[in-house]
Amino acid sequence: MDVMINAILDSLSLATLLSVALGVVLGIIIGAIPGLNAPMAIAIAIPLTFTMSPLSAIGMLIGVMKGGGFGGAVGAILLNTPGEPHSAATTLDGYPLARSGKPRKALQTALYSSVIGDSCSDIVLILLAPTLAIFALKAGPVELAAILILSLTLIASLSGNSLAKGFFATAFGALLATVGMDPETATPRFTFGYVELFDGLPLAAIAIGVLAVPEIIMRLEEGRHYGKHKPTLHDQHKGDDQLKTKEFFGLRKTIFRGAAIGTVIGALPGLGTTLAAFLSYASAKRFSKTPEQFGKGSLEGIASTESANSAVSGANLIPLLTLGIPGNLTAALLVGAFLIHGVTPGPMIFERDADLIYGLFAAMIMANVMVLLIGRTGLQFFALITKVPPYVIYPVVLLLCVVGIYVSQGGFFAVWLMLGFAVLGYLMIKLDISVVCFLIGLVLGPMIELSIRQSVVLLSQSPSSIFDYVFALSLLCATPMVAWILIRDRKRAGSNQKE
Amino acid sequence: MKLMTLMKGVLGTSLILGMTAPALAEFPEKPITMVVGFKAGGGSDTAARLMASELEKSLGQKIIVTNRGGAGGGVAAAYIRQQPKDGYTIGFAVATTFAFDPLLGNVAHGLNDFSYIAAPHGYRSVFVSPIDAPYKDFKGMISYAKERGWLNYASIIPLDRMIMNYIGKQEGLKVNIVPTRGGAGARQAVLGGHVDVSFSGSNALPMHEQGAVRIVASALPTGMPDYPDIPSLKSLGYDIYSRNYAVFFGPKDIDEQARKKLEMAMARAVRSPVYSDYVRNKFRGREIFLSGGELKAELEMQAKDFRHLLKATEE
Repeated sequence: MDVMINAILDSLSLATLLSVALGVVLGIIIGAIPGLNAPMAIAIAIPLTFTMSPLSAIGMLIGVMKGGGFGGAVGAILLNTPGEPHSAATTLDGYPLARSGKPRKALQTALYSSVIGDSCSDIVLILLAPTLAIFALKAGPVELAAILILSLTLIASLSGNSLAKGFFATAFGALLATVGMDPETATPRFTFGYVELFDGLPLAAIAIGVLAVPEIIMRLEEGRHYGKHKPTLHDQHKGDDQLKTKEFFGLRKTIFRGAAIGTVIGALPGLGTTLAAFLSYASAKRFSKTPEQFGKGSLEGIASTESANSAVSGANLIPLLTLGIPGNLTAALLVGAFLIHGVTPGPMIFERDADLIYGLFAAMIMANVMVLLIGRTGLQFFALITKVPPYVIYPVVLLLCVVGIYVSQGGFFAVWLMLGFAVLGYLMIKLDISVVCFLIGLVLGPMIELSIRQSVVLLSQSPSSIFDYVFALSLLCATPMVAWILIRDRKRAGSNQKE
Repeated sequence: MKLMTLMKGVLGTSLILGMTAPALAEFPEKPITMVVGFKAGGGSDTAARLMASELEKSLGQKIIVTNRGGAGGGVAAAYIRQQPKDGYTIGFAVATTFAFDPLLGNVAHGLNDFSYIAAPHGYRSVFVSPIDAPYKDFKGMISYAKERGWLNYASIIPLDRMIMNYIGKQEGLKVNIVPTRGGAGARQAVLGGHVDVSFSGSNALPMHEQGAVRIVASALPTGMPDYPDIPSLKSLGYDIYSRNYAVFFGPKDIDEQARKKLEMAMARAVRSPVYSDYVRNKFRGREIFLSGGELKAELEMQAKDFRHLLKATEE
């Protein structure tokens, strides 16, 4: 108890407070720049922390991580530029809402949901980390494969108007995900001799390519028809650009559901933020009273994705701290940073580095408060972007996308890929094929492939031992039932529309 | 008068550039670009960045660190191959990038396409088992697996998979290679008890000390002097090893004066408190320095050994 109190007092020092605040500001700015993202922000910040005390350094990086999460939402909502694939879920409703003249409302929903989701998972981390970690370890390849299959079935409900087109887009994404080294034999697949492709397609370059660049092109197309009236990026202010307490209160279920999904997915290493964001989005749509609003600027849509993906970032630290297993790219970078400062994640961390760990917990809560405060001030300014005329903002955004991808994803190779995929994205939008399903296939494809192939290897010698995996089997049995319910929903929605 | 202005100009410029060197141009007279073959933020990337800051101190020039991660250092190698040979663009990868990966025939570069500057530290690869496994050492694991009929092995890179296949062949044991993405996936499989043994970097050492996992063998040919209880594969009777190094390299036929200067600066840098503390206590790597010549010889020897190994596992 003494250790805990001392550590918390330590973390309240001016130096720590300042470094967390600096981290949050840095994270929000870098995260909001098209083409850059939270992992990039952390990679940039790590060398800055070399000379700091361990607590200040880790506090700053936590600040960057959390700030970067909200920064990513800013880019996704205002400019349709997702910095990471999971922000693609936020663009679904955030961007339409911002375009309809309510950028502030969209950002406020994102910020508050994000901070609540984050705080919930932080509390779970602080109270239950070691217990949860042991539980998470029990989930091996077979369980992960079952979870992924069930999740993908739920996410299938996002496939838009045509189930066939949605299926096609997802399968196409999954096919492109096979580019790179075969995980089992390390033979290059579809790399055409480019070493740059050995580790797969650079995801951020493709997310920006298929989502943001076609949007920019289409907005500029519109620009040719503006004629006399003075254009602005989004529709003019219509009032109602503030999130009302009542509206926010109505989102509570969605936010807590998102937080729960994000926490569970985050605690299981190897599943990742994109899965959590889309899973939360799909279930929010399923349980919503107004599912028809989804994709057109639904507050629930924004709240569901932002609460879930922020919850992942806290929960990701559970396997990281207790087992040394990073759950995603951001967490992997944090392991490196911990090492530099002499902290070795592992089961003994709570005894050996107790003061630092409790300091870290305090810094996390502190960072949440700062994201809230700094984000609230910042979003007033960010929202002003929407006042800039499109013929100014879109070329700038395009340039930032190119530069950002060049810097973060490995040179001109990634930039050309981004532009190539922009053509693909443009065609898909014109043909009404879901770009989001394509991205989901691309991100989840490798995870499903790996976990299924691992399971096959593990079960190959004694196939009957599959019956030992009760949890995985029950999930697999639930999958057809979930599919049936979703198909029934879809039919009902279809017949309602006809009436 | 004109001469005075000229002199002033020269003096001013040299002051601005902070040059203390004599009028004769000496390497380095402009910033050096260091291309790291791994994604930013990892253990090797950190070592490279610490090295860069030490080099800046001793060479008096800015070192610009950029990351070109992918293909186990192969992306950076392919890039460096095309760069000017003046010593102002150097790369950072690992020994397997040059001694092993070309043997698999997937990459376009070969061992002789580069100049080698130095190896600033080594890696310590180990084999790790779950702590609650029914065996306590490597031999016990093999006989347990033989009794069951197969061994579940979590692999990270092609080399470790080949090593385990070789052992399986020698023992007449079926080895189930469970592919994982990166060290984290393999760690997860071991901690959860989903496999019998996995490959791992030196980050398994603290977990071994804490009793979370058990290291059953070291891949280094002579084992690890500070862990006398952990046997090497060689001492277990398998004529096989992995001895990986961090490698600084440049394009083939790099300017020898520049290469030498970099090599000497690196030899000094690895003795600096910051770098040696990082390698010894944080990264838990192997404190060793190879000059460019020694490194080249080591790589050639490893390539020869790996070629034999490749043949042995293919037969």
